Amino acid sequence: MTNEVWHLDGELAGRYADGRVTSVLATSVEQHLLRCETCRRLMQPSVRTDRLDHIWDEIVERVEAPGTSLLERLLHWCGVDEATARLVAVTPSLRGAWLTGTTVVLLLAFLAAQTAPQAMSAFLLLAPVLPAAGVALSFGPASDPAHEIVASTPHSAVHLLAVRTAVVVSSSFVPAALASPFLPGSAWAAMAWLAPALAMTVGTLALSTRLAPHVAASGLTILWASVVVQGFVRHHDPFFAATPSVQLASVAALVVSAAVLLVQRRDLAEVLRRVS
Amino acid sequence: MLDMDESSTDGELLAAVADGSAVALEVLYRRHASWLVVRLARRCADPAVVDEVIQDTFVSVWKSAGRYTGQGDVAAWVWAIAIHRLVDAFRRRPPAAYPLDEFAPQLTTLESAEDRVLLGIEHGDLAGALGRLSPELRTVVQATVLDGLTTREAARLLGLPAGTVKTRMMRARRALRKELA
Ligand SMILES: [Zn+2]
Repeated sequence: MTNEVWHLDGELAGRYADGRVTSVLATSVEQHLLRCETCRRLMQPSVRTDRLDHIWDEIVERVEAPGTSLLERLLHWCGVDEATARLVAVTPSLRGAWLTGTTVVLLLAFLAAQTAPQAMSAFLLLAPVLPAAGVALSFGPASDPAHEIVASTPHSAVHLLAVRTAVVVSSSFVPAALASPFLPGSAWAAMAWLAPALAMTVGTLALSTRLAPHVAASGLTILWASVVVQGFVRHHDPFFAATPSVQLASVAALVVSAAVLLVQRRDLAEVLRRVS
Repeated sequence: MLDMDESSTDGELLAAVADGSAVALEVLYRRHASWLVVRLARRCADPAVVDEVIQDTFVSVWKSAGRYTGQGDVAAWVWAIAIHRLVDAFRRRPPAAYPLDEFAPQLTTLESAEDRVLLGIEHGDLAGALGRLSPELRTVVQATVLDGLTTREAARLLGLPAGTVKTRMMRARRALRKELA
């Protein structure tokens, strides 16, 4: 067989549109439609114009709604190209719910810390977990509405991931950083969440080259929680996370994760394309 | 910006959409909405859901037109978005049952000749082999191989557990390999 000479006629087009063809023939028709504009046009009589007009009106309404465009414009203003800004703006963890959750949890930890120093454990436990969770949520097929588009462009996938990560991480870091000066203990102790937070975020990305992002983030969360809880239970120290050993371990983990990420950055693009 | 009208190619329209042209989006919509509605209707019995999915699809096209690399047909790119939006819709609201249609069996002989012309070119005797699969296996192959869904997405589309899709895919692959060898 040489070039494709077969096309639909009006009769077959009508039967396909009405669902009166076997699924095997339907598959043939569908494969052909993807490549043939002439035959696609044969489908036009099968859908009523007023139905199409109605759908179009709804699309216009949604396309013109301002919605997330504030973030889009802010990113664009910072030098991010428009298409990337749009995709970042649809990142699930950036939606109001996530941001509210982050702020509320941190606020609670901060209020608790004001009244009882023991509650510092809660703050130091949560502050590093949130950005890592946000990063895990912000990509991967389970949560990403733009996933199939991202996945089809591996090169820009890494670029997009970098921008998204920066936005997600700063959206969690900013409230935590703002809370820090008001926390009990020395300024250094109040900033003790920073190194573990960076280690967990970069660690989640590094582990995501091998594991599903949510598995990576959950594993690191359990690890971090066990460190903080141990410190509180065994040493009765709510500032255990601020001790030099924990801080040094965090910095070491950060360095190792960053190195792994640098070496495996190609695999990270694969993560975005991973099939379940 | 160039004027976008009926004579523009899909690629030109998509580039204009990426630049924020709503006119180009409408030309693209008028050109592609009908066949998308028809094709989605074969996978979803509820016209209200189909309409919603078409909306979601073109809102996605609007937002991600800049991501189109220029490789491959625009129609295939738009379809990939549409089928994923349908999976999303089923995630929000699982369908009652996926239609396992075996329509007009008396036409099979006539149709299998047509099938061969089409699928025969790219896929060997895929049409014939597909036709000999059981309907359960065939719908799984259609959702994964031809619609390009992952196992999990196909499971959602078909209203089946992911494990079932995986086993059926394995059985289908074995059968197809034997047929096409
Ligand atoms: Zn044709």
